[in-house]
Amino acid sequence: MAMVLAVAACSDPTQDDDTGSAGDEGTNGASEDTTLNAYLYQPPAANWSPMAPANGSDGIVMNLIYDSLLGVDPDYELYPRLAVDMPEISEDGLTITYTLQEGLTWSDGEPFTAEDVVFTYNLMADPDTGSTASGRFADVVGAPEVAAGTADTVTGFTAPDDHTFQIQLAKPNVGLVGLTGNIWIVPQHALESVPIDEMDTTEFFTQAPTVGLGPYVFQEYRTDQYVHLVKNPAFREGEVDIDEIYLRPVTSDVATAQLGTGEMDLVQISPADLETVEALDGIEVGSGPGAGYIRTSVNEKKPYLQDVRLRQAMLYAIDRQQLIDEALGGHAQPVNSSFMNDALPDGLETYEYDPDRARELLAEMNWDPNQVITLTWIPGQRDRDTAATVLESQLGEVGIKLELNQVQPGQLTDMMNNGTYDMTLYGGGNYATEPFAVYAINGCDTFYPTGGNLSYWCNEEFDALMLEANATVDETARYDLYRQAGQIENAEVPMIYLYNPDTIWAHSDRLSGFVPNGDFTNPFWNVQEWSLDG
Amino acid sequence: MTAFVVRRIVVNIVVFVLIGIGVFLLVRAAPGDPVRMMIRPEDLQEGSEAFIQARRAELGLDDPILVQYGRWFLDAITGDLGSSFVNRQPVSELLLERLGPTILLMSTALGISLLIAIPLGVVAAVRRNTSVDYAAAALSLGVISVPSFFLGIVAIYVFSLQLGWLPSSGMSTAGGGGGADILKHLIMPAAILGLAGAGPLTRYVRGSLIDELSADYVRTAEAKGGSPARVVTRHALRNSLIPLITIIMINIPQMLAGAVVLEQVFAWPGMGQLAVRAVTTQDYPVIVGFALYVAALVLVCNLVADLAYAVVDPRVKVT
Repeated sequence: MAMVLAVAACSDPTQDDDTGSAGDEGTNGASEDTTLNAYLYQPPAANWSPMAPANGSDGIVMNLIYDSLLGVDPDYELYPRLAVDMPEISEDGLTITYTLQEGLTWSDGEPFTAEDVVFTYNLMADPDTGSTASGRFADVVGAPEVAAGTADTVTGFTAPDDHTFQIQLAKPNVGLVGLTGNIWIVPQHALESVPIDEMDTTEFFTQAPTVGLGPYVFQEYRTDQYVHLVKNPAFREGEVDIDEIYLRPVTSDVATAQLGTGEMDLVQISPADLETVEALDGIEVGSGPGAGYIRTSVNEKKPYLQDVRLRQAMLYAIDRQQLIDEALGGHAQPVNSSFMNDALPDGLETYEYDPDRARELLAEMNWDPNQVITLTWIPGQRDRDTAATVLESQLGEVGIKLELNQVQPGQLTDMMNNGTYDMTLYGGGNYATEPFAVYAINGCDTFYPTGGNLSYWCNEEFDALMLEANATVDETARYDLYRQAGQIENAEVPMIYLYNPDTIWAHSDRLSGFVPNGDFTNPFWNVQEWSLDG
Repeated sequence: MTAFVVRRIVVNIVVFVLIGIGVFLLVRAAPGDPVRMMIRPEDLQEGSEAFIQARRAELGLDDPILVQYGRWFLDAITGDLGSSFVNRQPVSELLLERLGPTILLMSTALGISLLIAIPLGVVAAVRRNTSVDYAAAALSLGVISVPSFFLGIVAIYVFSLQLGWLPSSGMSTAGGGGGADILKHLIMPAAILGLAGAGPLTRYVRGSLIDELSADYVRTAEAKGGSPARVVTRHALRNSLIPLITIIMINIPQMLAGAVVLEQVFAWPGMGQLAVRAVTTQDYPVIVGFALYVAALVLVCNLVADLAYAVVDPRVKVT
């Protein structure tokens, strides 16, 4: 593989396979259609429903064909898209009001109104539509009744007029904005006749989501070959510059090679390929920090894993910077907290590599060096595989016997269900936009499988701060509470924080206006500012 | 003959049903939970569990396994193989739209295999123990030994990146199409798959022909003054091809396995890609459906091999 890529670097950069011209009818005089070819890391599941379980490939497509009230920029800050501004939250924290842009139309010419938003949020709150996120709306008036099947619509979602969308809450929940503001809005007029329980199999979502508010309109999905999108003349910011986009699922090696031949214009690459790609002529590289991070849970239901000093010792024993350099060529940041950006407290313990300190802590707690701990993970990702072996050797050096256990995804699901693992290595999530998202992995009542708390760590003070923060409308006070919670988390080490990998993009220098986004499902977040030469 | 055919078909149907039962039970015996796997642990939130329970009930996963099988079987005999757990589309649709590309790839590859193997095997047999024979042996051993995915990557490097002659992946140019375009995309994967199949076939052709060349009727034909070329092509080769039919038919499933791998390398939109994805997401109905398609292919190939044998070789009497 390395050989192929190495020589890809030497291939002829002038060779330019313009795949868009094949179907041209010969419109002389008119300017050439511009076509962007971008890489999908796997074929889409081909269910373009905002309610369907998250799938990165389909997410990339949906980010292009649908639009949302709010968006998330590469700094993980929310910004208004269909809304004219950030929503207003009433002083009592019980009413969230979005004002929508006026005069917008769907790609088929029908007017977009607040009723479409009410319709979409109702779908999201109803598990019968296949929604996996209905629980997010638990605090909305009337949502629990819909989730339980005793009501059809959520009384707390209303449209007082065509350009106002209001959410009524039973108790304050400020995090709702960050967690639901970027829901993709779907057209009521195209979907209202579909029975609710057939929403996840309806043709609109599985075959032809051709009506949207996004910068592009869905044209065709050629099975396992490409998704074809054309620009939406009715897009809220006016027509975009690049006429067509082909999203093509190929292996990452082929994608990297095709960057060199000009068959591909935009590719997400791994740090291992970075050097090769940087050597290519006419290719530019950019990156952004991810929204989540790689960690290992430490199952505190096991008696021998409950002492906080063990988890602290593990952090001191691992040279995470060396791990980042080795596994990711330095393209990641060490992590010491689940909180990010403004919610990240100052003066955190950074757990710099200090094996002596680790040994001290272990001695203090009388750690039994014969106790074997099993680290379970799904192999196949280079950085995680490297991390597992580094953990094994570095923890071994301070007297913690780690046994590596590679499993298939199904086995890991079973181990999680039965709570039989000691430690699992995994990663992901998005904690950068809305700090309350951290509650889902650290709360006392978000233990797996209710939430993602795989360490079964429980700290009542932490919970109280998180819940108070989420109910605090004043932003300064709210973030102050989150930072206090962050201090506790950092000291208690509910999981072994490892690193936050960068998302790296490589693109043809014909493409201008591209701003790299760390969220790999949203490289096209500012596609209206892009253009493609020749 | 008719009785033989009917008997063989009945046996094949029984085997087919048994395969269905076996696969159905096996995929469900594997660890994991297809619904739970739809949501990554870090995405779990309030409401996820409600979705998981509702979806499990909807898909019938909470019923006893025999009830599940019974329900699936009754649907299956009407041609309904259920719907994918992941994208909720009918399994038959998902498989049928990918069957064409896979068959196109495999049949082209088989044709290429034969075009290489028969002439090469004949030359090797006739000129046995000469440098030509050794070269043929080296070539066939070479393609047997090198995994086809590696050949695929090398071919992409040479023909797509270096020479720029052929597209590196997919079945048609985005936005384009047409027979010539598909042919361009087909050449590399089919040639590599064909080459991999040609290796063993060449050896079989050579071995089989050498056996025939030492037979009495060949000596008789030579004694009657037939030219060497005529003796080989009209007499010996014809007979040596009979065992080859079986070999080819038995090799088709193996070729399918090779196609599954090459489809990944070349992003060829066939059944292999779908099957690999279905396995990683534990999409039971798709896995079972794929297994049944493959089983049907194998059984049909075997049946055809038996029948062809009877037709080609008059000595084989079937009753």
